Amino acid sequence: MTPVPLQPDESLDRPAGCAAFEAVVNAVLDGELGPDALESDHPAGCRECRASATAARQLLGAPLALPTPPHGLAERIVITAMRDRRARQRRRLVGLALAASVVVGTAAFLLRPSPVEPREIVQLPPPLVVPEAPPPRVSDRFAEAGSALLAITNRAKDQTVNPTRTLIPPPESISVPTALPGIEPAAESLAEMPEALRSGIEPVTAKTRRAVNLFLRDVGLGTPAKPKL
Amino acid sequence: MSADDDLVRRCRHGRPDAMRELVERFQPEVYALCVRLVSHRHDAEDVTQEVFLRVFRSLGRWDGVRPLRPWVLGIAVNRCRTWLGRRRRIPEPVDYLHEVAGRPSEAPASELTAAIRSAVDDLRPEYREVFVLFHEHGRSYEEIAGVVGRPVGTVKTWLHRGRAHVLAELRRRGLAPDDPDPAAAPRPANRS
Repeated sequence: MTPVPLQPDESLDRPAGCAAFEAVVNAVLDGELGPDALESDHPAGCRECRASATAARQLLGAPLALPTPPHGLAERIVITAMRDRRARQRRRLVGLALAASVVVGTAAFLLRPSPVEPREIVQLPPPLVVPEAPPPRVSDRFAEAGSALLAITNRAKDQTVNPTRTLIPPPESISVPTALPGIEPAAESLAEMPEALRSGIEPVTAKTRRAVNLFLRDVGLGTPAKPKL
Repeated sequence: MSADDDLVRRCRHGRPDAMRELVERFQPEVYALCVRLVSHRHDAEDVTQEVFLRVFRSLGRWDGVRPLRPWVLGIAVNRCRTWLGRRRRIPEPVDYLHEVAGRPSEAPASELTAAIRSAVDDLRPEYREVFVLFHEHGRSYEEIAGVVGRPVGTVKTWLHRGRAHVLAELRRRGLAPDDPDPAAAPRPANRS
């Protein structure tokens, strides 16, 4: 075995002979060299190395007996170890039991049947049978639309004509001179005004009706029933 | 199957006789190591007990290829380090360098032994571990490396530094005169 070289900081300020002798001391203490190796020339002339050699001999010869264990320690250790082993086995069993109970509980929770609560059976009334209405016909829808349009038109006409009637005094309050000198009699009476207005608006409603009829004819639905005015 | 394998197998089955055999086989070394590393006998007893509890709990992790002794001693060294670390964090009112009164103490056989032990107690923990394992337990470098979990080179360095301190302490105390005592015959270390 090669002696371990000295640390650089330790050997820098020491002579090479001292460093070499220290390696010898270590080799002797390691058992690689016999104690006779300490009897070299160098320590004879070096006081410090001579002291090191003496200290090494002291260390080698010192009665460094191992302390003996107290009586009963082994028995105590075995008893404690057995208790520890039993306690660990118990803890392991408890742990396994806990784990098993957790698994069983979880499985029972997951696999439980769905909760069925007793319910009162309520007799529901028989469903009302609603007779199916016949599907709406497009021609009827257009007839309705035409009637609605006609009604709107008539209402507009009435709202226009009726206010003008207030302007017409009652016939009994009007004293018509039989003959006024210089004035020709009126060609038409004011009482004929509503009829004149009606005849003026009539073309509008007639045109509307005609347009609807034309449209129905174009889409091939024929002439709807003539709405009642 | 080696003897260690058989012993470990029986211990793992909880056989009390096997557990006792294992304790009796390693207890002297473990206890002696603990006494030297924690420097207190009562603490060493507690640490020794902890070591064997840890050994029995960890038998399943023992590598059957390796010898059992360094593995057990490695656990002992680790428990001692833990104990010392705990003791540093919690200062004790007693002086651990003195034995507890009323206990049959193993008084050092001589002033030289006392000086060596005092110097060893002053060493850094890692130096003390390798010094005690080498000079008191007679373990080889390779075994010590396995115990402390460091390379052989590191173990050599630590041991040589520890030795240098111990030798210097012996010289400082005047226990290593220039003229050696011829009666102190050197004995080579016994390596097992």
